[in-house]
Amino acid sequence: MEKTAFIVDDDESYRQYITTFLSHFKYNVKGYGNGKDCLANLSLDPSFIILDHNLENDEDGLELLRLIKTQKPSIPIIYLSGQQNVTKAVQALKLGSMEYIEKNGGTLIHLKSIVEQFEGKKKKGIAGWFA
Amino acid sequence: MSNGYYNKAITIMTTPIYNSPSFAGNVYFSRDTFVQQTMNEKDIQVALLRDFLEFFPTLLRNTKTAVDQLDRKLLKHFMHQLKASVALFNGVPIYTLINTLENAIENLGDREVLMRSHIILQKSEALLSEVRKFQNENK
Repeated sequence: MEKTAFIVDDDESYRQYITTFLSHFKYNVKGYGNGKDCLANLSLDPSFIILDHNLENDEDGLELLRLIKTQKPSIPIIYLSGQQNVTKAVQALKLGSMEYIEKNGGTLIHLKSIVEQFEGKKKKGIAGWFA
Repeated sequence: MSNGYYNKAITIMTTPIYNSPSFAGNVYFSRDTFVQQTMNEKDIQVALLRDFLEFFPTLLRNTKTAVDQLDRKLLKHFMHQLKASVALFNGVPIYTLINTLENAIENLGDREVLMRSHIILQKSEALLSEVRKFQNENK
């Protein structure tokens, strides 16, 4: 079965980098610039969503995170931000984000390890989540 | 700020400081950063270089327009995007300059914003040239 992942970010170039990167790990990546498009496609049931803090039309990623968790609480969210901001990180984690990643020189490495960890746990079944 | 200090500041800020082996003849493009980010996977490197060279020139043009118009909101928006792209290929120098400008942009005078923006654009153009060169050498 094909794995699907979402990248939601107002930055078209960054959406493309993430798409390219995750495609290497056999993900079918869907990129969206705003919350409306992301929410409209949640029925695709992505394995996880990478969500940036800045979205189109001055939308806030934290608000979208809250809406996703209301509609599909089981989808893991990896929250992305261009700024190192502890308050924002805490807010994202409180709202149910699985991880918080800063866009910097180590983003792709960090992302890879999260995806691998996530896939490893998934393979083990539900017990893996508590390992 | 007197002209002497201003000129000295520009000289310091525009003088390349990175010449470590990891930059291998490049001033802004860090091969090590790129190789680490891509786990030395050739096909990811090729694809990311292609993406960067497709999007980065437009991002630079958009940032330049925002600088020319001295539109701080737009400038902050594009600088933020520039920073994210730069981080894939460049260890620290440009990223740090953009971060500093982004955090202080509301409190800086016009001249300071313009000066810092032009320095960032100049270094980013140089990064683009170095990435192009790297791509050509690794075809």
